[in-house]
Amino acid sequence: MATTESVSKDHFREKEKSILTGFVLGLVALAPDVVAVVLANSVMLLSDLLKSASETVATFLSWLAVRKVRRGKTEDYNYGQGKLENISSLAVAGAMMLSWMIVSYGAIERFRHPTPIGRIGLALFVTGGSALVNLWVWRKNLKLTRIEPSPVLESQWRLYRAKFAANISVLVSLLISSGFREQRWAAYVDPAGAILISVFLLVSAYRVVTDSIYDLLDRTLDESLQLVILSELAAFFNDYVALHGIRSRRSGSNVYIEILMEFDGERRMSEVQDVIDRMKAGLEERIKGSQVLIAPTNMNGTPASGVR
Amino acid sequence: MLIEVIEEQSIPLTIVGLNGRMDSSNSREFEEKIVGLIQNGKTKMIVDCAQLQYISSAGLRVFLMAAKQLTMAKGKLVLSSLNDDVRQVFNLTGFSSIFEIRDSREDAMKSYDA
Repeated sequence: MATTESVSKDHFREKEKSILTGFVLGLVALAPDVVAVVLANSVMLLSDLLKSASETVATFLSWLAVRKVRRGKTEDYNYGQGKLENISSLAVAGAMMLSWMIVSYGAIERFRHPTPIGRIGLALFVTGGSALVNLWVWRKNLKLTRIEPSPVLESQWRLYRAKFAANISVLVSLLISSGFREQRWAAYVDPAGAILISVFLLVSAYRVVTDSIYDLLDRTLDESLQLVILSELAAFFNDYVALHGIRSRRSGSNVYIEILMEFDGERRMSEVQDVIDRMKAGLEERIKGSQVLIAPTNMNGTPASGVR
Repeated sequence: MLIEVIEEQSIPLTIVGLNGRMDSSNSREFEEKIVGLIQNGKTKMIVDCAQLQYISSAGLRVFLMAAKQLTMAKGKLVLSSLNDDVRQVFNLTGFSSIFEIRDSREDAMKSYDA
């Protein structure tokens, strides 16, 4: 039977693989995008290209963060991983904001100087393919987020949803601009589509920024979770001699709990370890996303050396 | 929160009366008071909760620490007159299995006679 730890490691590996896939696909799509922009002479496509480039960089940062977290998680009691995930989420939000500025500027310029678009065959092919890929990555990340909530995956599925919506807008815009090329108003469809993308991007960026900043601030645990900790201590009341302290906090999607307790000096170390293991497992099962450290102490409440 | 300490000389027994709400803002005061009593050898104790309106996890934590210290000192802590809300918290967290809980102060005093 798989242990909780191995399941968690597998999930981190899956998370890392999913983000890396998104990065590689984004990178591969950039070259044909450049050609499509040149051929179509579309400000919307140009904006989409710049947006995709900044998002690909942000995805790369997210992948680095998750990779580091996965490695750290197997080696250390790592207090910083929640923050790392949130910082990389802010990087994604930064990329979205940059894209919004680029798209808005390009659209305004095209409104001031309307220009018919060029050949769109390659652009349709590239954008259509990109839409399918983005739809797939969006759904995959959303599924992973539902299994284990994470700021990185949360920002990733929102990012790919935004990318998919942008692709659809580009496709519609290109088809209308090309189909009604002879009409004067058709020249405004391209910048109008770009404005649509910019609004969508702005909303997504705002959401990611507010969520990440909220999670970046360390918070105390909810009262309901504090009561869960105490009920576990009550359940093991006869297994320890004294309780010297409980420290708990929430960082991102993670919950960290440290319990300092004194055990009967006459008990064998294996018995003490058994109590610690059962209490830790009980708490980690009842409080999702928690990492519990139970430190045996001496009678003054000082942890024994080498306790991890 | 008001903490009232009464020394019952006949048994001998220490009665601690709690009044108001106990949360993280005043649990430290309660901890200092109860730990001080235990260290001074007051190991037979009743905590009268008749006027205690609410208790948070911070307050429960003090009760847990006190229970442990009294166990080591071979003493006893009996709780009395918990209102429904406080009693529910004790039941939900399993604290009612750690402490002897009586309906009134008089009942709690009788538990020391037995």
